[in-house]
Amino acid sequence: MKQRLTRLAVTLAVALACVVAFVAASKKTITVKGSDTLVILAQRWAEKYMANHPDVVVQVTGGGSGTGISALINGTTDFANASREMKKSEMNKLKQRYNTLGHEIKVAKDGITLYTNSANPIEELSLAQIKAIYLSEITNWSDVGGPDAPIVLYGRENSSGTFVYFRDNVLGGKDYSPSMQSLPGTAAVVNAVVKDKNGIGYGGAAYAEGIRIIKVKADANSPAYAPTAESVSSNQYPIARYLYMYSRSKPTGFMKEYIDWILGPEGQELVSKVGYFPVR
Amino acid sequence: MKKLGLLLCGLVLMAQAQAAGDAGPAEASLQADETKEKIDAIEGKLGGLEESFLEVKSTVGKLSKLKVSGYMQAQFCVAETLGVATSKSGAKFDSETQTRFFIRRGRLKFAYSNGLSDYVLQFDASSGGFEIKDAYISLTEPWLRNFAATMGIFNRPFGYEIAYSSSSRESPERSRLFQTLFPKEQEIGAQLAFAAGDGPLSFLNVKGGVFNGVTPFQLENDLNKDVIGRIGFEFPLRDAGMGIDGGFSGYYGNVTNTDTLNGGEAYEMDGTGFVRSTGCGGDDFSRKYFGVDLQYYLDIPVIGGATLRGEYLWGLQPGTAKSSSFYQPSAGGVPNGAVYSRNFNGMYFYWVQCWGKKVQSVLKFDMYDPNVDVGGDDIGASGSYTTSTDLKFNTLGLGLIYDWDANVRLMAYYDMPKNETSENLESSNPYKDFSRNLPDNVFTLRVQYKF
Repeated sequence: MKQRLTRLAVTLAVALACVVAFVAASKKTITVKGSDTLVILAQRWAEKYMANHPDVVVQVTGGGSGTGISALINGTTDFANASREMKKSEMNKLKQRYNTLGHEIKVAKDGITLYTNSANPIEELSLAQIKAIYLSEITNWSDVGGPDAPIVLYGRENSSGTFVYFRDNVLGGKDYSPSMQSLPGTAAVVNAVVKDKNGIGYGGAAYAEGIRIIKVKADANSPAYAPTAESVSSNQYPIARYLYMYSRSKPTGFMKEYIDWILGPEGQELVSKVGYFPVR
Repeated sequence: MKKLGLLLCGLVLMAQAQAAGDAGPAEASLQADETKEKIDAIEGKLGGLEESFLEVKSTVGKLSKLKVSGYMQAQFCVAETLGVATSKSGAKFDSETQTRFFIRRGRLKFAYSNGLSDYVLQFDASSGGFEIKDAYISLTEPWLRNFAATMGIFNRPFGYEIAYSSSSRESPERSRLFQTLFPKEQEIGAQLAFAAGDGPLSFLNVKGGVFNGVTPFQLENDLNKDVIGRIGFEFPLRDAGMGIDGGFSGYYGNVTNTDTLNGGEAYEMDGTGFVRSTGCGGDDFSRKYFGVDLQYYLDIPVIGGATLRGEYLWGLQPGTAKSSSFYQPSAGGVPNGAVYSRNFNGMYFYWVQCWGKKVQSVLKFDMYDPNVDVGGDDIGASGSYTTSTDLKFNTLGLGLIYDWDANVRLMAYYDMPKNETSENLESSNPYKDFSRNLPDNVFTLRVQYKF
């Protein structure tokens, strides 16, 4: 009897040790989903972090801020990347499902950038002109000092945080012109404008390559600013915003370590390298 | 699409150029013409495809405004004894029944939103039959987008638990208090709502409306309309990992006595018993409720979020001898009986605790006293006209919820009602012997699918 008990105890101890060893050896996984504006930066963060922390896997996907926040509510991601603040309706869904309001982390700053084709001579626009262009109240470049050519509008899809931020803060909450072509991702907007000499698009500052960046004026009499580190951090650039990461609860353990790293010198240095502006 | 076209054009041009290099100038010119024709044809096809694409995109864009959602709740209930439990705890049982399966909810909701206007139609198909739950049109003003007007059948703007969907609620049923005062959560009427999106008033939301006050599917029988409203607040203290919401509600209405006996009887409390009046047919009787609700959310690191939620109501309820629910014009198609007016109060309290992102535990306590002016052995006393309808109930519930995935939720819940007792309500019928606490606990096992 005693032997049997000893054998059983040894077997249980070995099984327990195996389980502990398996758990200890298994990689810690962090899933991040959401904003296409943030996706390049999030991937760079993940690559660099995983290189220095081989026991952690960070999986990054885009899809838009709305998609990321929905995934956070459904429990299919640990962090949602967003280029806009979480809406009250989204916060209420988190309350109902998880009894929390969500934890908000400001990870970078961005100036929403207006892109035109490099052949377009226009250098600056006021907020009122941009609004009129995207509402199709102005439809020809000659009305804003450019050539006599129709303006072709490019923008993001409605799951995008940039789409929402631009609509709420530039268009005053009004709907975009039906003639705007909605494209899946800022890279697609930039590509379209590169190929279309009459095109105009908007998106994150980090994507502004191979096109002309339009300087923006708060009103007709204000100075025009390009989205630079100085103008964005001092809020002189009229359409500067924060970029966010959201979690259901305040991060703990290895997730907190990852966020601390993002907000630390290494993470914030990558923010500048990618083309956005650090928050610290 | 354009990329593919350009690639095709390029390949055709390269092939033609190769061929032209091998032939004479006249032949080359002929081939160049042919090439141009082919490019024109390809461009034409591309243009056509682009047009079709824009048409499809426009159609899909319109369809995206229509949202279809729904949920189904299938459940198995076990009563403590044969036939004693009531639907207040989740299921009714016939006298020879102790367990039963049934479909509690089978909802399908269609919502079309055009930004500033909404159309909503919701059906419920369950073991209880088929009925319309929501049917309303809502319009938001285009200037501030802070005010919205709604007309149709929708949730009464009172308290917190009414509007809290049973697909999210952590107990099988609403508290006894709400089930009694607001049977069916919806009412037919018109409502004006205010909710400031941003700015200093962003914490505030106000709803108020005018309603028939006889449930959506009863014919209005008098000139009275009921006024219902709630002033709510939300203070999200995200940096502190918590949030505090709440509100104050009011209901002011009247019911009309349809009783025909002795010209219409009515009973009002005097001391610990009812006093009967006659000749009250057609008279109005006041229906007044007041309520306070509070919700507190707390993020507990490592464990998960917790909610403490409570609501307290008091007021005057016109009911009948057999029911402390509100007086309705007809009962079973015939004029209702005498009106019994009772001062009532009640409350509920929830503690919901998340354990990670899949599991929640719930502790719920609710109390409903339909007649605060009488209690204990005074109930049922000779000549008092009081009955088991005037008994107070305290109910304790314990539950466990598991969210299988984004759609499926499993719930196990044990409901333990405890009724007030009175020696004057002793009965040989075990289901009506209120001289003791009835053995009417119910265990519910539910699976829910929501999309």
